Amino acid sequence: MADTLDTATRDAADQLQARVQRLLGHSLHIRHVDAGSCNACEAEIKMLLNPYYDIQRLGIFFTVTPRHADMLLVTGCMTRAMVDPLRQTYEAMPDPRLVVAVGACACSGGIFGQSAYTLGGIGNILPVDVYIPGCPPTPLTLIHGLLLALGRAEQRMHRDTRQVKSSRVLPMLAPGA
Amino acid sequence: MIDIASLQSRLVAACGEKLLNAEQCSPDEVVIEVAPGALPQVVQMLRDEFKAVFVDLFGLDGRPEQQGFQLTLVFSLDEEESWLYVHADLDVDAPRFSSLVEVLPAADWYERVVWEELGVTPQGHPLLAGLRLAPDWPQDVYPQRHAFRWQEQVQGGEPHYFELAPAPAGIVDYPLGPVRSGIVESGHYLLRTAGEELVDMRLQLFYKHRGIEKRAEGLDLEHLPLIAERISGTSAFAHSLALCQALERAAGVDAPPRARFLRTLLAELERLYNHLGFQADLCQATGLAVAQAQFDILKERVLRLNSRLAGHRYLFGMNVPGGLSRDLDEQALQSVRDLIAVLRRDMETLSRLLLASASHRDRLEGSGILKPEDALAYCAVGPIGRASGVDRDLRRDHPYAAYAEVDFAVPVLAAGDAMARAQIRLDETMQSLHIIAQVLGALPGGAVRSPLEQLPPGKAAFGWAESPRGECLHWLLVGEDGTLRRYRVRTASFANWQAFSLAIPGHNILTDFPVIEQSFGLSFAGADC
Amino acid sequence: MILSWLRRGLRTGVLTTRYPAGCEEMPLDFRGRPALDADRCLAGQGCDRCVQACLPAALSLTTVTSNDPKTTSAPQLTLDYSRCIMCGLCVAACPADALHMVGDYELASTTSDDLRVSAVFTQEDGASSRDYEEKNNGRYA
Repeated sequence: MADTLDTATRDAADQLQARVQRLLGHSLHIRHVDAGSCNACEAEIKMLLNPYYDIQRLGIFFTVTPRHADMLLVTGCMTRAMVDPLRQTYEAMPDPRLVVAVGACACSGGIFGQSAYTLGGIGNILPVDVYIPGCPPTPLTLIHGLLLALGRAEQRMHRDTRQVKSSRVLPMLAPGA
Repeated sequence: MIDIASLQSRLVAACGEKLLNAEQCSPDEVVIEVAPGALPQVVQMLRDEFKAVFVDLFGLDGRPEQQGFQLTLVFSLDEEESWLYVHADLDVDAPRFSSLVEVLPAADWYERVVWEELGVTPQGHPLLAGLRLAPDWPQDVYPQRHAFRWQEQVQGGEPHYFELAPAPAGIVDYPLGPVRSGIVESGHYLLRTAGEELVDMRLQLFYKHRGIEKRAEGLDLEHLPLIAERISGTSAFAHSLALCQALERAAGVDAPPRARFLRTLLAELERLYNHLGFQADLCQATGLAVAQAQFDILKERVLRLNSRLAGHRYLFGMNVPGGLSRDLDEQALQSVRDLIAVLRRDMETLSRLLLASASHRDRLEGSGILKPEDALAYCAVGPIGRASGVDRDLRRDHPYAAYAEVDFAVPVLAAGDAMARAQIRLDETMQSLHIIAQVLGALPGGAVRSPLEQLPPGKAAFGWAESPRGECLHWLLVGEDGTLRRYRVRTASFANWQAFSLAIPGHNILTDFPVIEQSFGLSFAGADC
Repeated sequence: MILSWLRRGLRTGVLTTRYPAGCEEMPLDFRGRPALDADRCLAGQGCDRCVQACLPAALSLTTVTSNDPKTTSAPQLTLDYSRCIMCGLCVAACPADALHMVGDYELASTTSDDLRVSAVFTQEDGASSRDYEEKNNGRYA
């Protein structure tokens, strides 16, 4: 009985995910928020609208109000002062909504990490659906990430742990040399 | 170069006993030491009699090696192609100095930074409030004091916000930001309007303060350029160039000639893509969609060229202490030549079309006038200053890289409106193309990197570059262990944002605001850093 | 004026990339991401040059317990692409050519876990290779 319930719950979650992707797969409206970037990520995001990339041909648009947005696209390492404005923007978005972290800073804090000024990326503040690495990620990397969030692209990066046999010899180099 | 003996005697004659010491620390740098109480008179005298231009003010905690705090002011002596530093030693137990805002309005933000980060009081400052630190930063934690490390966990306190006096009757407050429309950086404007007309604006920046200066402390030579590049990613090359030049100065190392010429080429490529993007953003603000797309196409082509030359669209990773991390081969240089030819032709066409577009010009002419006297008082720099009559450009006045070896004009206008700021950048774009062509024609052979292994402990050094938005300055102090002890960055946008507020009142209506903002084209990341 | 701009736009033609319908080639030296060739890596012998070179700590060395009965602990080198700023300093620092830049641009992931690749360096003991479960999805050069 418990098994059936689990399966049913799992199916429902899968169906919801598929439904979300079908709903959003036709067109996507993005609200961008800068949570403390160096501006290179914003510059690359702006390039998505130029004739070379033209993401509008993929049904992806930018909107100025979070009320109309399906996705929150966040750049920047998460500075202290932007925590409340970012949270308020997210809370103003209706469901279904996605959050995408753009660039090393938003994914993890990048070179700033956790410090007196920065909070190690947006993952501690918002639930992130897609991480797009890069410094900054190029427009093609961004397109791949946006389509991945919509279920229209394949993920190429996968967790991997490889066991390597290494010879039991004296160290060739002193540690830290 | 500077005639120190003559300068010194003039300083002594003018300052009298207020001048505690004066010496020349290098062929183009003079240091004078002054008592903190005498700063306003000395500054006034420097400005009036020596035509010194104020450039930076920052504090340093000298402990434990020195007894107390030191305040440093940096002035540019353009005619002598030199820099003047004013040091004032402050007592740790009673750290204060007389505020310079009366004499030098541009010193406003700098004094607030010193107050909030070092705990030094500028007495008589008209509006002493925090500037860069987050609203929840506790009052008694001073990040520039020597014991503070960038990765300390600072417990947030009760947020304190700046309370603006309520607007008088008939004036409406119109808050914008920090989350604003478009793909833009975070910052807050409080506009005040009487009907349609803008009467005032209060700027609230520093939402993006990442503590760059503290982050660089303790880092070694290899990592410092990575920090400098990310102060403002669209001025990455200029900032890393200024930093590497400071490091080279500290170490007494010269970059080889080929590196200096290639640095000039790459710096101008950065200026190009920024100015093209500026025109695109301005056309977006005025609603000229096809023009925006055309300029974006040109910008994209430059970014792709950057990727081909440097492996990175924004030229990250090119500047290293001692020169460049890689050379450009003949094929790469040919692709630069090819793109320059295309850009020259396309820019002529697009400039002509743009200047003939009445709807575009109408929105720019007369909007957001920054008067020349205001630009001077607030030490506006770069294209913004030059559009308001401030005839200064580091590439000409303090040549670095190979700028002394190429010919170029520095366009200056006096109208100070949005049209002037756009026109200056159009002219600078053509000048950049001219500079690149000269560099390609005169490029020497040889290495692109001089060896630079270590920094001499205790050395201070200064580096500068003219970024697309104006002059940016990097000052650093090497610690006893050879890593960075104190890093000070004065970006162009930090200086120019102070002047921005002055361009808002004066027959501008609310819908002019996006156009005025875009016509300044300032960086929030650079200012906040 | 409008017509002039329109003419200009029409004359420009189509520039749009076919991606994702087609793939795009990056320039030769484009810094997409670093790739780790664990077979060449000397972390098992005490080398940590890349870890020292990495400012955002994308590369890190930890100690794990391996499933090899003859080794109780082994060094593990992890490369976390969510921290990586693609600066290439690790590639320059590596004395064994175990790291090199590739021009990949499809880097996005739905979890931060998927952005971590690791190599665990266990001791050579002459035992059969079936003792270890080796996963190689072909991404290692």
